[in-house]
Amino acid sequence: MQLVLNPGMIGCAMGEATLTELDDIVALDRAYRARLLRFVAYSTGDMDLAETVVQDCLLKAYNGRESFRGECSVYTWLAHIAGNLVRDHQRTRKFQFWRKVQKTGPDLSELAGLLPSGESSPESQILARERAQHVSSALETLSENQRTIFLMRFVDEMDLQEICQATGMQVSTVKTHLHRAVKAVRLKLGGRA
Amino acid sequence: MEADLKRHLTDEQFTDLLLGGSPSQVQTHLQECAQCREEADRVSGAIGDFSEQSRMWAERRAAARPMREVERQPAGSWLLRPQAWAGAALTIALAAGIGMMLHKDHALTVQQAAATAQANATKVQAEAAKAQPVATRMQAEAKVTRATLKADNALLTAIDGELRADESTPASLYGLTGSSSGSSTKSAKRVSN
Repeated sequence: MQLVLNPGMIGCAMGEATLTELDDIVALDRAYRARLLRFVAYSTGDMDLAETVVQDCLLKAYNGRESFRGECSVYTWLAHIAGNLVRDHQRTRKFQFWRKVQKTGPDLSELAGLLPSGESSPESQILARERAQHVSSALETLSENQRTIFLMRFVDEMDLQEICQATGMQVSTVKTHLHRAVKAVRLKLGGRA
Repeated sequence: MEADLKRHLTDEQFTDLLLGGSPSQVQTHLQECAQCREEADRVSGAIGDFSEQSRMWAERRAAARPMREVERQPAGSWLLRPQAWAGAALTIALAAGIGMMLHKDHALTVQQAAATAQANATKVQAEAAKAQPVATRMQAEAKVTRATLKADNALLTAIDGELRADESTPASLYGLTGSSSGSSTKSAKRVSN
Protein backbone atom coordinates (compact mmCIF):
# COMPACT_ATOMS: atom_id res chain seq x y z
CA MET A 1 0.00 0.00 0.00
CA GLN A 2 1.36 3.37 -0.98
CA LEU A 3 1.85 5.68 1.94
CA VAL A 4 2.87 8.81 0.13
CA LEU A 5 1.86 10.20 -3.22
CA ASN A 6 5.21 11.09 -4.68
CA PRO A 7 5.19 14.50 -6.36
CA GLY A 8 8.00 13.40 -8.61
CA MET A 9 5.55 11.16 -10.37
CA ILE A 10 3.02 13.91 -10.73
CA GLY A 11 2.47 16.05 -13.73
CA CYS A 12 5.10 14.44 -15.92
CA ALA A 13 3.16 11.39 -16.97
CA MET A 14 0.64 13.17 -19.10
CA GLY A 15 1.92 16.71 -18.94
CA GLU A 16 4.41 16.54 -21.78
CA ALA A 17 2.39 17.63 -24.75
CA THR A 18 2.96 19.63 -27.82
CA LEU A 19 0.88 21.94 -29.89
CA THR A 20 0.39 19.19 -32.44
CA GLU A 21 -1.92 17.46 -29.98
CA LEU A 22 -4.29 20.37 -30.22
CA ASP A 23 -4.37 20.25 -34.00
CA ASP A 24 -6.03 16.85 -34.01
CA ILE A 25 -9.29 16.84 -32.10
CA VAL A 26 -9.60 13.07 -32.33
CA ALA A 27 -6.20 12.58 -30.73
CA LEU A 28 -7.06 15.21 -28.15
CA ASP A 29 -10.26 13.38 -27.33
CA ARG A 30 -8.52 10.03 -26.99
CA ALA A 31 -5.74 11.40 -24.83
CA TYR A 32 -7.74 13.49 -22.38
CA ARG A 33 -11.42 12.58 -22.44
CA ALA A 34 -11.26 9.94 -19.72
CA ARG A 35 -9.15 12.08 -17.44
CA LEU A 36 -11.37 15.11 -17.91
CA LEU A 37 -14.48 13.02 -17.48
CA ARG A 38 -13.29 11.75 -14.12
CA PHE A 39 -12.40 15.21 -12.92
CA VAL A 40 -15.65 16.82 -14.05
CA ALA A 41 -17.88 13.93 -12.99
CA TYR A 42 -16.60 14.02 -9.41
CA SER A 43 -16.53 17.80 -9.38
CA THR A 44 -20.19 18.11 -10.33
CA GLY A 45 -21.59 14.78 -9.15
CA ASP A 46 -23.59 14.74 -12.38
CA MET A 47 -22.68 12.27 -15.07
CA ASP A 48 -24.78 13.82 -17.82
CA LEU A 49 -23.42 17.27 -17.09
CA ALA A 50 -19.90 15.84 -17.06
CA GLU A 51 -20.33 14.46 -20.56
CA THR A 52 -21.60 17.81 -21.78
CA VAL A 53 -18.86 19.79 -20.07
CA VAL A 54 -16.10 17.51 -21.35
CA GLN A 55 -17.46 17.75 -24.88
CA ASP A 56 -17.64 21.54 -24.65
CA CYS A 57 -14.20 21.69 -23.10
CA LEU A 58 -12.53 19.69 -25.85
CA LEU A 59 -14.31 21.64 -28.55
CA LYS A 60 -13.46 24.95 -26.93
CA ALA A 61 -9.82 23.93 -26.57
CA TYR A 62 -9.65 22.84 -30.19
CA ASN A 63 -11.26 26.02 -31.46
CA GLY A 64 -9.07 28.17 -29.25
CA ARG A 65 -5.85 26.23 -29.70
CA GLU A 66 -4.17 29.31 -31.15
CA SER A 67 -4.37 30.96 -27.74
CA PHE A 68 -2.46 28.12 -26.05
CA ARG A 69 1.01 29.49 -25.44
CA GLY A 70 2.56 26.34 -24.02
CA GLU A 71 3.28 27.88 -20.65
CA CYS A 72 1.65 24.90 -18.96
CA SER A 73 0.76 21.37 -19.90
CA VAL A 74 -2.16 20.72 -22.20
CA TYR A 75 -4.06 19.01 -19.42
CA THR A 76 -3.60 21.97 -17.07
CA TRP A 77 -5.02 24.18 -19.77
CA LEU A 78 -7.91 21.78 -20.34
CA ALA A 79 -8.59 21.59 -16.60
CA HIS A 80 -8.73 25.37 -16.48
CA ILE A 81 -11.30 25.42 -19.28
CA ALA A 82 -13.29 22.60 -17.71
CA GLY A 83 -13.29 24.33 -14.34
CA ASN A 84 -14.69 27.49 -15.87
CA LEU A 85 -17.37 25.52 -17.69
CA VAL A 86 -18.33 23.68 -14.50
CA ARG A 87 -18.68 26.95 -12.64
CA ASP A 88 -20.79 28.40 -15.44
CA HIS A 89 -23.13 25.40 -15.35
CA GLN A 90 -23.36 25.28 -11.59
CA ARG A 91 -24.42 28.89 -11.41
CA THR A 92 -27.47 28.28 -13.50
CA ARG A 93 -30.77 27.79 -11.70
CA LYS A 94 -31.61 25.00 -14.05
CA PHE A 95 -28.64 22.98 -12.83
CA GLN A 96 -29.44 23.65 -9.18
CA PHE A 97 -33.05 22.54 -9.70
CA TRP A 98 -32.17 19.29 -11.44
CA ARG A 99 -29.47 18.54 -8.92
CA LYS A 100 -32.13 18.55 -6.23
CA VAL A 101 -34.48 16.43 -8.31
CA GLN A 102 -32.12 13.71 -9.37
CA LYS A 103 -28.55 12.74 -8.92
CA THR A 104 -26.70 10.93 -11.67
CA GLY A 105 -23.23 10.86 -10.21
CA PRO A 106 -20.63 8.22 -10.92
CA ASP A 107 -21.41 4.90 -9.27
CA LEU A 108 -18.26 3.14 -8.13
CA SER A 109 -20.22 0.01 -7.26
CA GLU A 110 -20.38 -0.85 -10.94
CA LEU A 111 -16.63 -1.27 -10.87
CA ALA A 112 -16.71 -4.38 -8.74
CA GLY A 113 -15.95 -6.55 -11.73
CA LEU A 114 -13.16 -4.28 -12.92
CA LEU A 115 -10.97 -4.53 -9.86
CA PRO A 116 -7.78 -6.45 -10.50
CA SER A 117 -8.71 -9.89 -9.22
CA GLY A 118 -5.29 -11.43 -9.55
CA GLU A 119 -3.56 -9.04 -7.19
CA SER A 120 -5.79 -9.28 -4.13
CA SER A 121 -8.39 -11.42 -2.50
CA PRO A 122 -12.11 -10.80 -2.88
CA GLU A 123 -12.19 -9.47 0.67
CA SER A 124 -9.47 -6.98 -0.14
CA GLN A 125 -11.35 -5.88 -3.23
CA ILE A 126 -14.51 -5.30 -1.21
CA LEU A 127 -12.55 -3.32 1.37
CA ALA A 128 -10.91 -1.26 -1.36
CA ARG A 129 -14.28 -0.48 -2.88
CA GLU A 130 -15.68 0.56 0.50
CA ARG A 131 -12.74 2.87 1.14
CA ALA A 132 -13.22 4.43 -2.28
CA GLN A 133 -16.90 4.89 -1.50
CA HIS A 134 -15.98 6.68 1.74
CA VAL A 135 -13.75 9.08 -0.16
CA SER A 136 -16.47 9.62 -2.74
CA SER A 137 -18.98 10.37 0.03
CA ALA A 138 -16.54 12.73 1.70
CA LEU A 139 -16.12 14.64 -1.54
CA GLU A 140 -19.83 15.45 -1.54
CA THR A 141 -19.44 17.30 1.74
CA LEU A 142 -16.67 19.53 0.46
CA SER A 143 -17.08 22.97 -0.95
CA GLU A 144 -16.68 23.45 -4.68
CA ASN A 145 -13.11 24.77 -4.43
CA GLN A 146 -12.04 22.16 -1.91
CA ARG A 147 -13.41 19.35 -4.04
CA THR A 148 -11.85 20.70 -7.23
CA ILE A 149 -8.43 21.13 -5.68
CA PHE A 150 -8.60 17.75 -3.92
CA LEU A 151 -9.43 16.04 -7.21
CA MET A 152 -6.71 17.89 -9.09
CA ARG A 153 -4.09 16.96 -6.52
CA PHE A 154 -4.94 13.42 -5.53
CA VAL A 155 -6.87 12.10 -8.53
CA ASP A 156 -5.40 14.00 -11.48
CA GLU A 157 -2.02 14.04 -9.76
CA MET A 158 -1.29 17.66 -10.62
CA ASP A 159 1.34 19.46 -8.58
CA LEU A 160 0.61 22.64 -6.68
CA GLN A 161 1.99 24.86 -9.41
CA GLU A 162 -0.27 23.30 -12.01
CA ILE A 163 -3.26 23.62 -9.71
CA CYS A 164 -2.45 27.30 -9.27
CA GLN A 165 -2.31 27.73 -13.06
CA ALA A 166 -5.55 25.84 -13.59
CA THR A 167 -7.54 27.58 -10.87
CA GLY A 168 -5.88 30.98 -10.82
CA MET A 169 -5.41 30.76 -7.06
CA GLN A 170 -2.36 31.50 -4.94
CA VAL A 171 -0.33 28.60 -3.55
CA SER A 172 -1.33 29.46 0.00
CA THR A 173 -5.01 29.41 -0.96
CA VAL A 174 -4.61 26.07 -2.68
CA LYS A 175 -2.87 24.63 0.39
CA THR A 176 -5.61 25.88 2.68
CA HIS A 177 -8.29 24.20 0.57
CA LEU A 178 -6.25 21.03 0.50
CA HIS A 179 -5.83 20.98 4.29
CA ARG A 180 -9.56 21.35 4.80
CA ALA A 181 -10.39 18.73 2.20
CA VAL A 182 -7.96 16.20 3.69
CA LYS A 183 -9.37 16.88 7.14
CA ALA A 184 -12.89 16.14 5.90
CA VAL A 185 -11.77 12.93 4.23
CA ARG A 186 -9.94 11.82 7.34
CA LEU A 187 -13.07 12.38 9.41
CA LYS A 188 -15.10 10.36 6.94
CA LEU A 189 -12.57 7.55 7.11
CA GLY A 190 -12.78 7.43 10.91
CA GLY A 191 -9.78 9.58 11.65
CA ARG A 192 -9.32 11.77 14.70
CA ALA A 193 -9.12 15.11 12.98
CA MET B 1 -4.42 12.47 26.76
CA GLU B 2 -3.35 16.01 25.79
CA ALA B 3 0.23 14.90 25.78
CA ASP B 4 -0.67 12.13 23.33
CA LEU B 5 -2.54 14.56 21.04
CA LYS B 6 0.36 16.94 21.04
CA ARG B 7 2.57 14.15 19.98
CA HIS B 8 0.37 13.23 17.02
CA LEU B 9 0.73 14.83 13.66
CA THR B 10 -1.10 18.10 13.09
CA ASP B 11 -3.52 18.53 10.19
CA GLU B 12 -0.90 20.49 8.26
CA GLN B 13 1.75 17.84 8.89
CA PHE B 14 -0.67 15.12 7.86
CA THR B 15 -1.61 16.94 4.66
CA ASP B 16 2.03 17.62 3.88
CA LEU B 17 2.71 13.94 4.41
CA LEU B 18 0.02 13.06 1.87
CA LEU B 19 1.41 15.65 -0.50
CA GLY B 20 4.78 13.99 -0.37
CA GLY B 21 6.57 16.30 2.02
CA SER B 22 8.00 14.19 4.79
CA PRO B 23 10.53 15.97 7.00
CA SER B 24 12.68 13.95 9.33
CA GLN B 25 10.55 14.92 12.36
CA VAL B 26 7.44 13.47 10.70
CA GLN B 27 9.25 10.31 9.68
CA THR B 28 10.58 9.89 13.20
CA HIS B 29 7.11 10.37 14.62
CA LEU B 30 5.58 7.83 12.25
CA GLN B 31 8.14 5.28 13.32
CA GLU B 32 7.26 5.87 16.97
CA CYS B 33 3.47 6.42 16.71
CA ALA B 34 1.52 3.42 15.45
CA GLN B 35 -1.74 5.34 15.52
CA CYS B 36 -0.56 8.06 13.15
CA ARG B 37 1.14 5.49 10.92
CA GLU B 38 -2.03 3.42 10.72
CA GLU B 39 -4.14 6.46 9.94
CA ALA B 40 -1.73 7.68 7.30
CA ASP B 41 -1.77 4.26 5.68
CA ARG B 42 -5.55 4.13 5.77
CA VAL B 43 -6.16 7.60 4.36
CA SER B 44 -3.54 7.41 1.62
CA GLY B 45 -4.73 3.90 0.76
CA ALA B 46 -8.33 5.04 0.52
CA ILE B 47 -7.38 7.96 -1.68
CA GLY B 48 -5.30 5.64 -3.84
CA ASP B 49 -8.21 3.19 -4.13
CA PHE B 50 -10.56 6.00 -5.04
CA SER B 51 -8.16 7.35 -7.62
CA GLU B 52 -7.60 3.95 -9.20
CA GLN B 53 -11.26 3.00 -9.32
CA SER B 54 -12.37 6.35 -10.62
CA ARG B 55 -9.70 6.13 -13.32
CA MET B 56 -10.97 2.71 -14.39
CA TRP B 57 -14.53 3.94 -14.31
CA ALA B 58 -13.71 6.99 -16.47
CA GLU B 59 -11.71 4.97 -18.98
CA ARG B 60 -14.53 2.48 -19.27
CA ARG B 61 -17.06 5.25 -19.67
CA ALA B 62 -14.99 7.04 -22.28
CA ALA B 63 -14.35 3.81 -24.19
CA ALA B 64 -18.06 2.97 -24.17
CA ARG B 65 -18.85 6.27 -25.81
CA PRO B 66 -19.68 5.62 -29.43
CA MET B 67 -17.15 7.29 -31.65
CA ARG B 68 -18.49 8.17 -35.02
CA GLU B 69 -16.07 7.10 -37.68
CA VAL B 70 -15.08 9.47 -40.38
CA GLU B 71 -17.23 8.53 -43.33
CA ARG B 72 -15.76 8.66 -46.78
CA GLN B 73 -17.76 10.83 -49.04
CA PRO B 74 -18.93 9.05 -52.18
CA ALA B 75 -18.13 10.54 -55.54
CA GLY B 76 -20.56 13.26 -56.47
CA SER B 77 -21.61 13.84 -52.90
CA TRP B 78 -20.71 17.47 -53.29
CA LEU B 79 -23.93 17.83 -55.27
CA LEU B 80 -25.81 17.35 -52.02
CA ARG B 81 -23.90 20.01 -50.21
CA PRO B 82 -25.49 23.43 -50.10
CA GLN B 83 -22.03 24.98 -49.76
CA ALA B 84 -21.11 23.59 -53.15
CA TRP B 85 -24.16 25.11 -54.75
CA ALA B 86 -23.58 28.38 -53.00
CA GLY B 87 -20.00 28.36 -54.25
CA ALA B 88 -21.12 27.59 -57.78
CA ALA B 89 -23.69 30.39 -57.69
CA LEU B 90 -21.08 32.77 -56.39
CA THR B 91 -18.68 31.76 -59.14
CA ILE B 92 -21.32 32.28 -61.81
CA ALA B 93 -22.26 35.65 -60.37
CA LEU B 94 -18.63 36.70 -60.33
CA ALA B 95 -18.13 35.50 -63.89
CA ALA B 96 -21.23 37.36 -65.04
CA GLY B 97 -20.13 40.49 -63.24
CA ILE B 98 -16.67 40.34 -64.73
CA GLY B 99 -18.19 39.70 -68.18
CA MET B 100 -20.50 42.67 -67.85
CA MET B 101 -17.63 44.85 -66.77
CA LEU B 102 -15.54 43.69 -69.69
CA HIS B 103 -18.47 44.21 -72.03
CA LYS B 104 -18.97 47.69 -70.68
CA ASP B 105 -15.31 48.45 -71.19
CA HIS B 106 -15.45 46.98 -74.66
CA ALA B 107 -18.49 49.14 -75.57
CA LEU B 108 -16.67 52.17 -74.32
CA THR B 109 -13.69 51.22 -76.43
CA VAL B 110 -15.87 50.74 -79.47
CA GLN B 111 -17.53 54.08 -78.90
CA GLN B 112 -14.16 55.72 -78.57
CA ALA B 113 -12.96 54.03 -81.72
CA ALA B 114 -16.08 55.16 -83.57
CA ALA B 115 -15.59 58.72 -82.40
CA THR B 116 -11.97 58.60 -83.50
CA ALA B 117 -12.96 57.17 -86.88
CA GLN B 118 -15.59 59.87 -87.28
CA ALA B 119 -13.06 62.54 -86.48
CA ASN B 120 -10.68 61.02 -88.96
CA ALA B 121 -13.44 60.91 -91.58
CA THR B 122 -14.20 64.57 -90.98
CA LYS B 123 -10.56 65.38 -91.35
CA VAL B 124 -10.38 63.39 -94.56
CA GLN B 125 -13.46 65.18 -95.85
CA ALA B 126 -11.88 68.52 -95.06
CA GLU B 127 -8.72 67.50 -96.81
CA ALA B 128 -10.79 66.24 -99.72
CA ALA B 129 -12.61 69.56 -99.82
CA LYS B 130 -9.25 71.26 -99.90
CA ALA B 131 -8.08 68.94 -102.62
CA GLN B 132 -11.19 69.45 -104.81
CA PRO B 133 -10.22 72.91 -106.27
CA VAL B 134 -6.84 71.53 -107.12
CA ALA B 135 -8.47 68.69 -109.04
CA THR B 136 -10.76 71.12 -110.81
CA ARG B 137 -7.83 73.23 -111.78
CA MET B 138 -5.90 70.19 -112.89
CA GLN B 139 -8.92 69.13 -114.93
CA ALA B 140 -9.11 72.59 -116.42
CA GLU B 141 -5.45 72.44 -117.22
CA ALA B 142 -6.07 69.02 -118.72
CA LYS B 143 -8.91 70.53 -120.86
CA VAL B 144 -6.64 73.34 -122.06
CA THR B 145 -4.05 70.89 -123.11
CA ARG B 146 -6.52 68.83 -125.02
CA ALA B 147 -7.88 71.90 -126.79
CA THR B 148 -4.41 72.96 -127.71
CA LEU B 149 -3.61 69.54 -128.99
CA LYS B 150 -6.87 69.54 -130.90
CA ALA B 151 -6.08 72.87 -132.38
CA ASP B 152 -2.58 71.78 -133.24
CA ASN B 153 -3.85 68.63 -134.80
CA ALA B 154 -6.38 70.62 -136.78
CA LEU B 155 -3.65 72.93 -137.94
CA LEU B 156 -1.44 70.09 -138.96
CA THR B 157 -4.31 68.43 -140.79
CA ALA B 158 -5.01 71.67 -142.63
CA ILE B 159 -1.38 72.01 -143.60
CA ASP B 160 -1.27 68.48 -144.73
CA GLY B 161 -4.42 69.06 -146.77
CA GLU B 162 -2.92 72.05 -148.42
CA LEU B 163 0.23 70.17 -149.28
CA ARG B 164 -1.73 67.37 -150.71
CA ALA B 165 -3.78 69.81 -152.68
CA ASP B 166 -0.69 71.36 -154.19
CA GLU B 167 0.66 68.01 -155.23
CA SER B 168 -2.51 67.02 -157.07
CA THR B 169 -2.59 69.75 -159.65
CA PRO B 170 -3.43 68.70 -163.21
CA ALA B 171 -0.05 69.72 -164.50
CA SER B 172 1.71 67.53 -162.04
CA LEU B 173 -0.68 64.76 -162.70
CA TYR B 174 0.27 64.79 -166.32
CA GLY B 175 3.91 65.48 -165.75
CA LEU B 176 3.74 68.90 -167.21
CA THR B 177 5.69 70.66 -164.59
CA GLY B 178 9.50 70.62 -164.83
CA SER B 179 10.26 70.14 -161.18
CA SER B 180 8.34 70.01 -158.04
CA SER B 181 10.86 71.83 -155.90
CA GLY B 182 9.22 75.21 -156.56
CA SER B 183 5.92 74.20 -155.15
CA SER B 184 7.58 72.52 -152.24
CA THR B 185 9.36 75.64 -151.40
CA LYS B 186 6.12 77.57 -151.60
CA SER B 187 4.37 75.11 -149.34
CA ALA B 188 7.23 75.20 -146.86
CA LYS B 189 7.01 78.92 -146.78
CA ARG B 190 3.31 78.64 -145.82
CA VAL B 191 4.00 76.30 -142.97
CA SER B 192 6.73 78.47 -141.64
CA ASN B 193 4.31 81.38 -141.83
